[in-house]
Amino acid sequence: MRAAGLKHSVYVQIAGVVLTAPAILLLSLVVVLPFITAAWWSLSPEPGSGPTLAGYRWLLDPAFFDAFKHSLTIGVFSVLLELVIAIPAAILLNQAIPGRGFCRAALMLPWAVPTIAVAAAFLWLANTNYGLFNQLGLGLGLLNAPIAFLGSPALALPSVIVAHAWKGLPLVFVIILSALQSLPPELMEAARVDGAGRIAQFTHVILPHLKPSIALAAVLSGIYNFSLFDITFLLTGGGPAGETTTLPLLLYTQEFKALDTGRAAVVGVSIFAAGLMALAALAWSSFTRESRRT
Amino acid sequence: MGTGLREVPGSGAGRTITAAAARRRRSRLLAILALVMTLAILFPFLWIVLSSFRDPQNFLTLDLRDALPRSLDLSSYRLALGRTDLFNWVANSLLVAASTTVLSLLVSAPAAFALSRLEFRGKSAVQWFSMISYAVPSIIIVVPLFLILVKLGLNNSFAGLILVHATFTIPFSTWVLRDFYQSIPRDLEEAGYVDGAGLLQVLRHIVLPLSIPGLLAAGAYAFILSWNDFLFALVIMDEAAAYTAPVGVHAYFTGRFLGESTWAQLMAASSIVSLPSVLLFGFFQRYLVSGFLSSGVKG
Repeated sequence: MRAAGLKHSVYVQIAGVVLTAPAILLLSLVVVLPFITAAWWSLSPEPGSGPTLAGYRWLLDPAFFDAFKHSLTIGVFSVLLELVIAIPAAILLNQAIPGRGFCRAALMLPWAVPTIAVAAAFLWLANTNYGLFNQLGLGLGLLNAPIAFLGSPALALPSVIVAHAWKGLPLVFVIILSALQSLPPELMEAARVDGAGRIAQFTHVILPHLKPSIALAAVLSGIYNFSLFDITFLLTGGGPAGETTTLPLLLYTQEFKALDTGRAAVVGVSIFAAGLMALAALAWSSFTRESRRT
Repeated sequence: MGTGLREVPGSGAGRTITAAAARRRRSRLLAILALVMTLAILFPFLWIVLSSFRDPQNFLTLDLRDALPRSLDLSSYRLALGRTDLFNWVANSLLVAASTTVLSLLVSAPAAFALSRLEFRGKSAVQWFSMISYAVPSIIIVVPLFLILVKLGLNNSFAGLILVHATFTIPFSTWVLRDFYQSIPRDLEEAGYVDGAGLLQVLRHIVLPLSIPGLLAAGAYAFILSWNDFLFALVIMDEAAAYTAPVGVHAYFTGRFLGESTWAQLMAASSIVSLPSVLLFGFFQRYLVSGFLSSGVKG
């Protein structure tokens, strides 16, 4: 048979290489080569000098530390917000109710909305004088005076976090929903027969089952929001007074304002390394969980 | 579910009917709850669309009753398209996103087919390479990538931007299409080989027609990713005439005094820029979601 012959021939080896070569070439040119270049730049602060880690001393600088703190805050709190919304939403939309398909699809929509529109929406909602948040707050008597959400040093970062959480919700929602769909119905039935109430079902059956997926969603979405440039850039540009300057924004200003490519590269490699550590922690925790089980 | 709602065998027809009615009522209540929750979550997006239909002359209102449009006023759209180059930017974005989609599929589909059907040396290396590329955050590579494009003479050119966008879609698209090819029974292809067809003929007459849903999903993903991109379009394109829609909107509205009609234009422009991605997502969400699940989403 021809197909059986295909499996072992030199022809298959050649076809495999030829068919995947364009993808590998493009990825090398557009992703890997620039990445290696950035890593190299981070090691050579002076042109002509040998590779050195001296550039990384800048990690101790307050400017870097603040940006790291802001990125970490955005990563952690946007994920918490996403989980607080996605878990109940996924439980609700895992029931057999009419309109379920529509609601599931609609909750995925923020993924498809361009960041420029996400920024416009939150700029408008949070507008100091005419935005809906302020108007509702004033109208309902919750506020005495309008608040400059994006202009106040205390509220700018929380506002930016909300925008990140909105854009990142679909990823977390879809991971949690698919985990719920794999929850064996017998398990819930058994808990019900044992007389477990709603809350007991949630804490003793649903939550333990969801734990690995929550960890996965938190790490993936956290890394994404930690290293995202455009939402913060478009909403606040890093202000007021640097209160929302994240690592990606610090990289951008080092590169295009301070014209310090070496420092920009140090920031870039740090962003990548932080993400890698989070992934490694996730892999380690799921590894230890697996080995405990066996 | 409370015990009172459960059907008890032999408890009489009346009891069964009330239990069923109670169940229906409960599911209807939950459906309303789900709908309210969905609308609340989507609200920021719905709000720009609603605001875009307001009267631009009376846009900045302090009266909550004026916050909702009274009629479908299209003046904001007329202003946005008339006063800015939005029409031109949208045309640029269409060109870039459509070309990205074609290039992405031309590169990803053969790679995905090889990964799902051929046992060749270096196959797992290819998969690892693609996964690692997927994990590199965009912001790290943007500057060195720009310099590489300068060296190739591809900066400030649509060709350069298309090349970059298409490459970013490769890991995800290859992944989704590989899963898709794996769901096509091999027997069909084997039958083709038995009938004396070559690899190319099998690809064209058997594999290609069957993989259309997968190609549509990967294509929709590539289009949306390219259309929505802000960072790379911002750095690579530096002539105002060549801006894509998100960069053009950003350039036009940044630093401008935001009076009433400017806000109105921004809402209309944001709605226009969102429309293609939102529509494509609406059509293909079923296929896209299964792809997200197997790979995780990268904006």
